[in-house]
Amino acid sequence: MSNAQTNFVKVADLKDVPEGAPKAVKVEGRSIALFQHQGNVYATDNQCPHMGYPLTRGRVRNGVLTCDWHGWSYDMRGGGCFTGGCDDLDTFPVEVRDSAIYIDVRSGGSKRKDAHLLLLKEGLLSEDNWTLSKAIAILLAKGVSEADTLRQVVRHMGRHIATERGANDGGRELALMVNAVKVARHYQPDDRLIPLMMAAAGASGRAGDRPAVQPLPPPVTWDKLEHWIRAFSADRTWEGIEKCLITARRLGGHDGRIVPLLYDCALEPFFLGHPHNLVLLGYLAELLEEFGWDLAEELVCNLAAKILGRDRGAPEEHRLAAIQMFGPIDTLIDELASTSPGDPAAAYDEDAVAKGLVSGDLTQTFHAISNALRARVEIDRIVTTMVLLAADRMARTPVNLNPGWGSLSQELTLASSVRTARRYGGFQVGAKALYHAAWQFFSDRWLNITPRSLTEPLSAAKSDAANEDVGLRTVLDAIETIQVRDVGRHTREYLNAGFSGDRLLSEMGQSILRDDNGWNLVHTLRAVLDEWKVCEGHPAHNQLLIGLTRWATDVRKRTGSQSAAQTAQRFARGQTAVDLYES
Amino acid sequence: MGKDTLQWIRAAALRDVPVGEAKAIRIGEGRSIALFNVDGRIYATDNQCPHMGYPLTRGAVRHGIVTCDWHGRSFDLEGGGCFNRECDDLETFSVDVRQDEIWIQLGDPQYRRRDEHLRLLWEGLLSEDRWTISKAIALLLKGSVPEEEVVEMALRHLGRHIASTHGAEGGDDVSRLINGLKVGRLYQDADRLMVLATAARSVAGKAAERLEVVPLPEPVEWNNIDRWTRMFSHDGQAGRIERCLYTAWHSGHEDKILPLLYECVVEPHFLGFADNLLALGYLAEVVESFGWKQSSELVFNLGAKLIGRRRGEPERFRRDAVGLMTSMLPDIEASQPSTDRVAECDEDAFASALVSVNIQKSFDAVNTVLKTGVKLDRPITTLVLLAADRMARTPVNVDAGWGPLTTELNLAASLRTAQRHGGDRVAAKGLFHAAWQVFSDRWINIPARPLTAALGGGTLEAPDEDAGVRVILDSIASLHVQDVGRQVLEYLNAGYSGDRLLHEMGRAMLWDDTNTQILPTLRTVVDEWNRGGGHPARYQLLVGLARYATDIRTNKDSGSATNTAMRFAEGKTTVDVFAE
Repeated sequence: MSNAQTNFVKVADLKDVPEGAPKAVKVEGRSIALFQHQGNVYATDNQCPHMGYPLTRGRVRNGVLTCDWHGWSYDMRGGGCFTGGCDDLDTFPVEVRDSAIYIDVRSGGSKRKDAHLLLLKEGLLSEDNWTLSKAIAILLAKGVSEADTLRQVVRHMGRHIATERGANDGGRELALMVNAVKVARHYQPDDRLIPLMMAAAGASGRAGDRPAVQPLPPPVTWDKLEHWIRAFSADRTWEGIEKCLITARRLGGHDGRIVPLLYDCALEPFFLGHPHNLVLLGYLAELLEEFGWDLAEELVCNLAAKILGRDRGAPEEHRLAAIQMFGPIDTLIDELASTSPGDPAAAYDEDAVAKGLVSGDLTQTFHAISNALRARVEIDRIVTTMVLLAADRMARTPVNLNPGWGSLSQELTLASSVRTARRYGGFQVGAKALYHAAWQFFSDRWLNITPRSLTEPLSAAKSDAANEDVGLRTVLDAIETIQVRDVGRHTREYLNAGFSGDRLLSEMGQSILRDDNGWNLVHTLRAVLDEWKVCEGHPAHNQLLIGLTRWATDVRKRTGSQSAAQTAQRFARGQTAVDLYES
Repeated sequence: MGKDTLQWIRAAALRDVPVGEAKAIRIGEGRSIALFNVDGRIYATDNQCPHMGYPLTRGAVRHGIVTCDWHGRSFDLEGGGCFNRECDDLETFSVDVRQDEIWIQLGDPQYRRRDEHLRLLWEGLLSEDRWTISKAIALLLKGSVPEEEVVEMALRHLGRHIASTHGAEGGDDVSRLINGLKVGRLYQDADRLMVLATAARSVAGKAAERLEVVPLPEPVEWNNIDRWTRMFSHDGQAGRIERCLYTAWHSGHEDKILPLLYECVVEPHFLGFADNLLALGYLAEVVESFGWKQSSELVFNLGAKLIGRRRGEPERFRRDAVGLMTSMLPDIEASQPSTDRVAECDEDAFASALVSVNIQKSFDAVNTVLKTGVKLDRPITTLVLLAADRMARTPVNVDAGWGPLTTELNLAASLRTAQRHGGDRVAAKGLFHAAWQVFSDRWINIPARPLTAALGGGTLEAPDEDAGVRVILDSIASLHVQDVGRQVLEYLNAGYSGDRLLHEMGRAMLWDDTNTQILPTLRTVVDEWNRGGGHPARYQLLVGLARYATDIRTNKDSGSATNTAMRFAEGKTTVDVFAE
């Protein structure tokens, strides 16, 4: 503060700021509010820290400044906010010399370095989307690393899920959080606000007090824990699973075995028809990969326990039949795992697999997978078939009655998640997972989509747009104006014209995220973003984008949810309602 | 004590525990141990299920896990770990089979589970599970963990519980906790556990994470905090007060916080909010008992909610009373209670004005008393005994008005706390609030009576004090509400000990289901009775209390959980019912 003198600049004449008539001045591009109150002059940031309304329009009483919009109050001198601890107002030193007001904007500034992380925490606890948007926008604008922001989100989510959520609602929130983060990664920082906000919103909610789960006392070995986790999963006793998982963590040295074990449990035949389990475990595995056990422990141990210990209900006729078919399937998989692949497989009959999957016959459905496995087709290759089959169905499902978007997107995300299962759980887990994904196709047999050979080329008609920009505009317009009957064709013709699919996907993704229904599509958007790369070169590749545009268009709401995000971004840049009043 | 030095004992012959079966054996002071034979391997555990004491020999064994038949709690047979929440681990013993005989190594008898049981208590508080709370407290006390640690856990939980889930009504929880502690100190053993468990149970409930409160950025002087707090209190903006109070504490003004809170709650606009004054008194006692550090979240959060509560538009009588008290404020500010001179006041005139059903007369009487310069103890005592006298005489045939009458009593007594923390002026204003309470209870049909007149009445026909006490306890237990008041008066007239009677009556009340309701009043009566003095109406404290407790009594025997918890802590429970 020794050279504070040099930072003072003249901002107004004293006579221009009489008592009761505050004045806004611009200093270094920033709007500053000047007040005279009970003989003293005060200078504060003019943007209300809550939602950016100009404070010059507020009320002053007893040295307390109250914003007119939502009634938030601040100490005019120190800047303390009485309505919360993370929205303090910047105030600046003032000197009055020769009837002129001088202020020092350089010595003002944030009162607390961690104020915006606190704000994020407040948003997470209160589930207030504005607070979350604002906090994330400010953190991004201030250059706080996204990783630090997300760490807080993940930690909060662990406690929130552990104390307030079960397998179903907790699973939904986890899916939103993980997928929104993964989608965000596909965009430049400036365009990440909406997906990151979705991630934070997915993680938000009350977080109750909870004593830490204590490990079982010794002697306990990994073998015992593994045995018990399987037994508790079969018995639907989730508390026991959580206890065992925490114990395994404390024993040390077994972290690498936990996720494969969880997968093993989730792939028990009795979980057939609970596809969420498999998908959610994939998200948990990704969460661990990204944030590590120490941060994600509570979330992973608690939610995994609730997922594996969930009630399954008595299986109906078809599920029962399918469960009984698992005996020989398990034998086949064990056999394949214990023998070397031998000679490279004969040509992969992809159409036969696809045909079996949509045959509507359980035996044929499972045989299709068994035959492919016997022929030593790579699991990842079979997954590609399933993913593109699902995409192809999305690209062609009739929209006049019930297109079955929920079921079809489930087919797609479930198939895609088999890759994750294969990666973390190995061959046997991946192979079993194929059957669970196949079951999903069987159970969607009510969908009226005519079968088609997946390897057949698609129509080659091209867009007659003058260039890529125009072509792109046509597709996006069709999405935004809900032309569900045309959007699929527009997308196909755009791609046939040789225009960039990467670019279309990226732009379309933005459009989806900005819509109010983006919350429901974020999982599939994420799967398509991944699969668009993986399935490149396949004749049905384009169906990924065509299916997604059709779905996005059909369920679009157009209620303009992006406004909060845009306001938050402007707020973070210091441009908000202040400008509306001062221009 | 090293494991090697622990004693091995012969527990049973191997053939007595066939494969797949379990057997209970007794060792030492009747402790029951369970032996299990699982596929030829022998396990030995405590036979008492750590959850509720059911014999584990009757449980089911699978995967090396024994599951109790009663509530399905599961334990690792080898290490004893419990797989469920809100349950302690099971004690297990090393086993050695020597020539067809099963030998087990007895555990270390020293208590080492303080942390586990404090966590168990916390879990019980969070889930509002009465049994877990009672059991955890019984185990902690049995293990000689100081009562203070138990209470501090309850207090810490209460602060977070109120801050995250309650409004101003959270004051009721504080009342039960602090009054439970004050009463509990008068008793020992099972009685004390009973009170402690009751107090802890009444502060149980969900608690959630909340944003840490941080001080306002500097510079903030006390006079600003003072005027801001008053402003926000006046405007009903509770949410803005907590940070002011926290800032005050943080900048070393803690001595000024309670006086400021008191000055806010005795403002005329809070007439009719008796619970404000009461709850603030209890908060002040929490601070007295535990210090600021332990109480800060509770006091700042609840204090803010109390003084910042919204009041609604006053109805006709309250509006008049607020106007009247406001007009008397200059007089009140000017009044100077004497410190040395013994001023006199006409107590009967004062009491008669209070029950006059005329708020002008009532407030004038308070003002007159203040002008005499009498020590404030005197009018407070008058208000206390007036309430006790009304409790001693209210008809029980229709609606006795126990709620309002006990509020009169407790509110009057809490003015002593107000005086201690807020000073004479706060207590003087508090007298108006107490007078308002009596006025607003004017619907209760109790004939007026000079408070200084002798009570009269006969003497109890009982051979001795023991018999006298028994007569009264019988009346309470058998709900003889029409007789019990007369009997208490006759007992006291006979010269028998009131201290003893109060102690015994209190115990009887604590073991009834109505104990949480009675705690504040019992506590007030104990305090006021112990002040002694020869006031002619003093006996009415005990008469009123006995009538009140007898009338609301339910005889539902809530004490059983406490008794079971005590037996559990001793290692004696349902095991005994089953084991031969």
